Amino acid sequence: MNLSLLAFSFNLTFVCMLGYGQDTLKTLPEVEVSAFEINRIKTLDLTSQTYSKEQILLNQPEDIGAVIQKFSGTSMRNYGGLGGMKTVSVRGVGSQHSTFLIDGFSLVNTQTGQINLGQIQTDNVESISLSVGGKNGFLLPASSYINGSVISINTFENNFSIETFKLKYSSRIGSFGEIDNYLSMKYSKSNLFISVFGKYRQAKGNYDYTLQNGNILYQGVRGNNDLVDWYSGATAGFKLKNEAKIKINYKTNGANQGLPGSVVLYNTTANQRLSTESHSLNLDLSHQCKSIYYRLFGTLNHDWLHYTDPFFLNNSGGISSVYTNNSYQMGLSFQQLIRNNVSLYGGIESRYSDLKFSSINSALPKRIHSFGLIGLNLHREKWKTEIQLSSQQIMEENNMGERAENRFKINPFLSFEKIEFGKWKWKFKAWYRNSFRMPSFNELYYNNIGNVKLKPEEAHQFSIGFSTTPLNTEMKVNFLVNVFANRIQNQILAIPTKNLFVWSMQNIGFVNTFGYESRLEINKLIGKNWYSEATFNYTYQYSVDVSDSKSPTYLNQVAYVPKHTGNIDFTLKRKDIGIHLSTTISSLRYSLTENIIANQINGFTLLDASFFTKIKLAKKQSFRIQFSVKNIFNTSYSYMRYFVMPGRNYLITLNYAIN
Amino acid sequence: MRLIKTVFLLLVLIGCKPKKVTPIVPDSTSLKNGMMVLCEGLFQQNNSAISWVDFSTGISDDLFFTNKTNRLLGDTGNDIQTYGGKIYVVVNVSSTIEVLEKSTGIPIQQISMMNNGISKQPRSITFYGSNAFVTCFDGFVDVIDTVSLTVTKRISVGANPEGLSVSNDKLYVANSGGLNSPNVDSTVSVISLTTFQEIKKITVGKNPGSVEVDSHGDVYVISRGNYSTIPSRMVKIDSHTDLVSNTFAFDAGGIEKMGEDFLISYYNYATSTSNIAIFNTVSELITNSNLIDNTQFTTLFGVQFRASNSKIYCFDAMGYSNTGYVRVFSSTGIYETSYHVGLNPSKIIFYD
Repeated sequence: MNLSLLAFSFNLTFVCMLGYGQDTLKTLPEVEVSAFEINRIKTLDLTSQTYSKEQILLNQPEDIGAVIQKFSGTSMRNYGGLGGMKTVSVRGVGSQHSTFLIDGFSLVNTQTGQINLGQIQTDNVESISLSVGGKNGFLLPASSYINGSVISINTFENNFSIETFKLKYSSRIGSFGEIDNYLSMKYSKSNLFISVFGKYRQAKGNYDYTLQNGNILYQGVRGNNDLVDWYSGATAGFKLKNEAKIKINYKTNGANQGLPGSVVLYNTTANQRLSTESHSLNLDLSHQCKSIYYRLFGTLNHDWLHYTDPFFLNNSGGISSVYTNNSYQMGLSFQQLIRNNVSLYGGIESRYSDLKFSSINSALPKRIHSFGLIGLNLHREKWKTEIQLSSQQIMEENNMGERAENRFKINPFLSFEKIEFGKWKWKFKAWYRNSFRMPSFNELYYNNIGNVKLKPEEAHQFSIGFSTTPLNTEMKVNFLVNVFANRIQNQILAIPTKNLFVWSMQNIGFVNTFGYESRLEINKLIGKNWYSEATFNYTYQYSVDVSDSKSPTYLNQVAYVPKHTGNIDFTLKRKDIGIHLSTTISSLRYSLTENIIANQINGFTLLDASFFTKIKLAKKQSFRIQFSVKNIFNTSYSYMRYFVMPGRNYLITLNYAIN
Repeated sequence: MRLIKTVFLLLVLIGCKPKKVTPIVPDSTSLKNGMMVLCEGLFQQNNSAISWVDFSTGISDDLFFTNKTNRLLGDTGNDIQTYGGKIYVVVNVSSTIEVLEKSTGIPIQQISMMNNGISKQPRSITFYGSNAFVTCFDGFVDVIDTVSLTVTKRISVGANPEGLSVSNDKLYVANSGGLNSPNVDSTVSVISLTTFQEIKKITVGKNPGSVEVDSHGDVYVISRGNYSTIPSRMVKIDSHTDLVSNTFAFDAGGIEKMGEDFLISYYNYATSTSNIAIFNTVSELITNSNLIDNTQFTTLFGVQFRASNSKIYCFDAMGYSNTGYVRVFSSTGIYETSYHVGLNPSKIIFYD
């Protein structure tokens, strides 16, 4: 760990050089120290979009990915099925440029560099937000302010409560053999809380599908798509006499699932399986010391993954590979008000990661990734300016061969915001961010595919936007538009480097993205008892390959980024009864970055409908039931070529809560 | 409420399924003055295709197979050969052999290459007598009766067999063992075409792939090495003694017969450069080390020689993930023309 301490010290020095430790201490404005909870905004925020637990309940998403794709600016890669691989790209910048936070802790997977959203469920989610361009939260890890975008999830089990006892239970029964059960309990006293939680889910995943095979409509049933997964854990929180808060959390989760793969015409056999298990321990201390708020945190994380393919045609009679990925994080974040209109924030963080592979002669990579951050917020009555500098140092080791080069980089962020001016509460914001992502262990070291010579993939992001609230009487209207321009340099792509069967990662791509996202929210009271709410999201992304002007794909839309995406959500309620309609709309996308008909994947429009009612059983106890029909028109569609998605399906959800 | 009704109606309209495509009656006109190009496509994309190029217009129809069969070819087409008035297309990941009528391209039969529910992954095909012989990645050569179009026998060979050729009443099969990388195979299986049994394994060098026979009956195999420290080499086998008689010290990726000569193609993945040389099978020497200017290609993916017009047809895979070209040269290496075809072109059947 000497390397870690060295890196930690280095970044601490960097932060101190930039002005940490001002001597003028004044009182901070009111800030929620339990500020990982983000309340729904009254006017639209130009930096972040948020979904509350009520909105999540209405949509009954199968996982967190189904919520995230409702945010404007996102494009999803969805391989289908419960627990199946899902990743999100924000504003045309790849999925590995996004940071995921749960209760203020980063989710880290240095093996693949990305998080499978299909394995994060929503039962305990109080709110989820997507932020691009600016600080979104309070005392978050330094690393979360640095990446291209941040997705932050806040859970029920991690917060102090006023009520002594709280309980949440939910059960779901759905098509294709889905059965879910979730239970969480929280006991609170004045200075402490303890929560325990757990979930078990299973599904057969054997859904019918149709696909176009030339001029013939082929009908099939998805096979090897079964899933069993679970998670459980406990959290304890204490308030000390000096108002410091300590939280300790342990969580474990696992899954055993079939991997159906893409539908291969005339050969529908699929026998690959994946088992995963993870354990994480998080420790969190937050405190106010005069005018400085600070937070110390640490995480131990262990991921185990077992992949099997019993019918792979090698001499061993198949593949059975085990991967073990450990990561340990520690960090310090702070915020300080220097003057009434000037605040300083920053932090340091260091992560250690390693990967072990069951095969002999495989690489044994280790990485220490350290972050330093300093940011300055200048406030006036109607405008805010934010300046941020971050440093990252990455040190690599590989005990079984060549290692990647060590890296050190400094990245800037600048933003200017004019807030709530005029009768219509106009807001205006412009920002620029330069960031990068380090190649994952798989990209650097995995068998023949990995390439230790890879450089980090760099992203330049520029955005300008406005929001307004023109009506705010019995009908409330919010409207937002952001225009953005991004450039990816040294994009990491796989190309054949030995023969057509042996592909390897190379820095060969340059991608330019121009786009805009817009959001319209309308809330209206109809008479005394009726309430309606409608949300419209639309995103345009012109994301094109600019790697080589002589290439046939020059200025072609890059693979799997549709130009047009959007959604419309509509809710109509009368007291505790209501209906909810939700659409997902996507224009065609291409499976390869050559915009020809042969590579087109059809666009689609999906409609889900739900009916729900809430019954108060007794004092402080409530019962809610929702019946949902998803993909009501039984549309045949896919996000990824030949990864077919389910047709019409049904879901009944029961929720019971005390307090 | 009017707004709600309007929105709902709009959603109903845009949520409707796309219109079904009506199957077509395939054109049974005889094919002539063109070429059928097998385009491999990419793994798990089901985009393997046959492009029909009309020489009179130079236009390519990449939907040729679909227009003849009303369906797609499948995933990763690896070989296409003609024998006895039929065309056999070997589709590796879909694990099928598509049999078409040579004169029209009309489908005759699809042979499923599954073994107790497990894909055999067929790779290459050749013919002898009334049988077709197909290498399968599961370690067998399947014998297919060319009349009944059924698999009549499975002959056990080495790991992951690929190329195969017939000489001196024997079948020579390259066992690459590629799916065991880095512990690949190094042998060629010799099969008696009388008993249909393996009679010998000859060690030729790591990762053998292509097999070709010269006009004197000698067998040549490309051992592709490990793509780094062990180079790709051509090895000669005497088909009378079934012993290795020579290993040639030049880079070789593929062999194409051109009379008494071989066209030796090689693409260097490390430097992204292509090369085509002429090897004389009598003198056993390279007579032209650089027949074609490599700036004419982006990525050389294979070579085919057409004896009837003495032209060399080179496959350019471009960036592998975008559509490719067939580039035509004279036998002396002079560029003549190009045809834009499908993704990763690799084999041709010519029509006069």
